This record gives sequence, structure tokens and C-alpha cells, in this order.
Amino acid sequence: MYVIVIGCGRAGSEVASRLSAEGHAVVVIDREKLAFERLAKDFKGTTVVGQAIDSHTLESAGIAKANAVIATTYGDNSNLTAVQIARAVYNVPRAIARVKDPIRARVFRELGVETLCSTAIMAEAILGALSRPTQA
Amino acid sequence: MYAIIAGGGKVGSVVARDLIAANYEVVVLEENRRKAQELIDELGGVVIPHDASEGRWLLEAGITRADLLIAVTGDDEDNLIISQLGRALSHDRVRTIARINNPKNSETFRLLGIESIVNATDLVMSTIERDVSVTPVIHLMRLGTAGLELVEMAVAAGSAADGATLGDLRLRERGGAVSLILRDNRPTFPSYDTVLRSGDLVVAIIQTEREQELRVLFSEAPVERPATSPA
Repeated sequence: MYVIVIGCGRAGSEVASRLSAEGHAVVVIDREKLAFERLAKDFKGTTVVGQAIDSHTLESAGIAKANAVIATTYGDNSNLTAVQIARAVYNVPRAIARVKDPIRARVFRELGVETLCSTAIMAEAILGALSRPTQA
Repeated sequence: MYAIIAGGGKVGSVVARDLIAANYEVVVLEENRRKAQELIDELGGVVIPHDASEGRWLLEAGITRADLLIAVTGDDEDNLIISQLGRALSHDRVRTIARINNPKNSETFRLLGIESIVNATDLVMSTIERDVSVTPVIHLMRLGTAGLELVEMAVAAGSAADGATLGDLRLRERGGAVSLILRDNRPTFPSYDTVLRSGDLVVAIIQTEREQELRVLFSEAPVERPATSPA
């Protein structure tokens, strides 16, 4: 798979490193060059410095041939914009946005944008953990 | 009329003041606490000090009963998402206006269904065009997503349009529709055989892609004369 990961924070670098370790072709985009230091030592993919929603950045990351785009920046709005551009402008088959605001995540899911709400996922994990006996 | 303004910066605060003066009911969402406080001091309790792109604050601001949502933060993607979110939360009831700072984004916004876009760069350009008047075509307004624009064209002395009738210029065939001619600051509603003369301001709806063609007709030194040249 050819995957573009937008945002090289904790979540983005983790996803990119794991996909690379699984043998996928990975391109990571971040506006800060220093962010790429978070990638695993054996990361084999490539990196692009640029803005998430800039068409020049997306094109130099090879978005036209990407199978998937994962947007993980700290900004919900940048993520939602980037994946909508990926789908509508570049016909990328799969585009997933990390969204912290649960209402925004739900609304855009209903509009046909694939979203993962980190707040809801975390809350469910915590409530689930509390409902079970101690595992540690 | 009830308007929600997302972003209480320079643009948002001016819009808020004007709409309040025009008897609109107004709420401003501004997440920067300091800016929000300044607005509260000036406008009173119509400011919510939170991020407009967060669903709960748009709901709290009353998006479900708003007539107008004006997204004028400094970030293009924020304005896009606020507009889309507002439309969805209001079940497509609210009318949205989004500000764009980077003209490169306007095509994307249109593609993603945001109907009304205010592009700061375009506005600056139309002011420059008006003041400097180097170009005879002044952009007044972009009309929806149809690729049409409302423009004002000044007839330059010695141009192909100077002395020609609207029929001679074949504006219809060139994708233009003239709605009004301003001559000596008085409006004239033209017909096919109205003769244009230099100094006339022609208000017309044109196709954006054929603007250059029309520009040539109204310019001082036409690069090419129209096929049917004026008598």
C-alpha cells in the first residue's frame, strides 16, 4: 500500500513507523522538519516538509497514486480539510481524519468523511478499563 | 435576522458592529480570551469566548435557529470546517459566508460545497482595479459556482466598444449579459442597439473564462478588432 501520513506528532509518527515496518510505502508530511525525529530508526519511507492542505505539498508527496491518506495533525480542521481534498480532488480511495471534537467527528462522519475520534476512543477505553478488574 | 460570526478579529468585529447597527441579532465566537474580552467590553454580552469549530459552542450559540453564519477567522481551513459544520448542525438551514485568505483555496472550497466565499485578495484586487483603473474590468461579485461574475467595464476611448452597439460587440455570443449602463452617473437600461461611448460604465454578467476576450473589446488599444467591427 502507498500511504500518506499527515502530521508527524506522537500518533502520526507511530502510525507511519508501524506501516513502514509492515513493508508499506509511506510518505510523512509535517510542517516542522524536526518532527521527523520521532520516526522509528528503521523507518524506510520518505518525508515532506509542508502544510497539510497545500496542493503543492500533497502532490510532491505523490497523492495522485496514494491508496490511503491518514491525517493526524493537532488541528481537527486541518485534518478534516486534508482528507476532503484527498477524496474530492485526488480521488484517494481511503482517507481517515483524526478528530478530537466528538461532535465534529460525528457530523463529518455523517457527511461521508471517515473520522476517528480520539476523545471518544480514549473515553471508551477508560470506561472499559474501569469496568474490568485490574489488569496490571 | 440572527447572525453568528465565527472569529472576532479585525474583520469579525467590524462585521459584528455593522450587523448590530442594522438591527441584526448577533453572537460572536472568539476563542482568544483577550480578544473576546475586548469585544465583550465593546459589544456587550454577545460574545462566546470559545472555538467556533467546536460543535458544542456552535450549538450553544444557537446554530439551529441562525439565519447567517459568517466564518471570518484568519485560518482558511477553520472557516471551511466551521461552514460545513454549521450547515450540517442546522440541517442546511443556515446560509454561510466564508472568508478565504489564500486564493489558492477558493477552488477547493467551491468543490467542497461552500457557496459564498469572500476572498480578501480578490477584494484588494478590485479596489486596486477601481482606484488605479489600469484594467477596464472591475470585479464586483462572483456568482455562485457557475463560473459567472458580475463586473463593471469602463469603455475606453478608441476601444472596439467605443461607438459600437451591444449588437455589434456580440456580447451574448461571447457569454455576457449587460444589465445596466451608467452614463454620466445615470443608469440606462440598454437594448441591443444601444450605442456605447467612451466613459460609459457597463455592468454585466460575464463568464469568468471569457473575461480576457471582453477585456480586449473595452481596452484602449485592442489587440484584435471584433469580427463585426463598429460602423
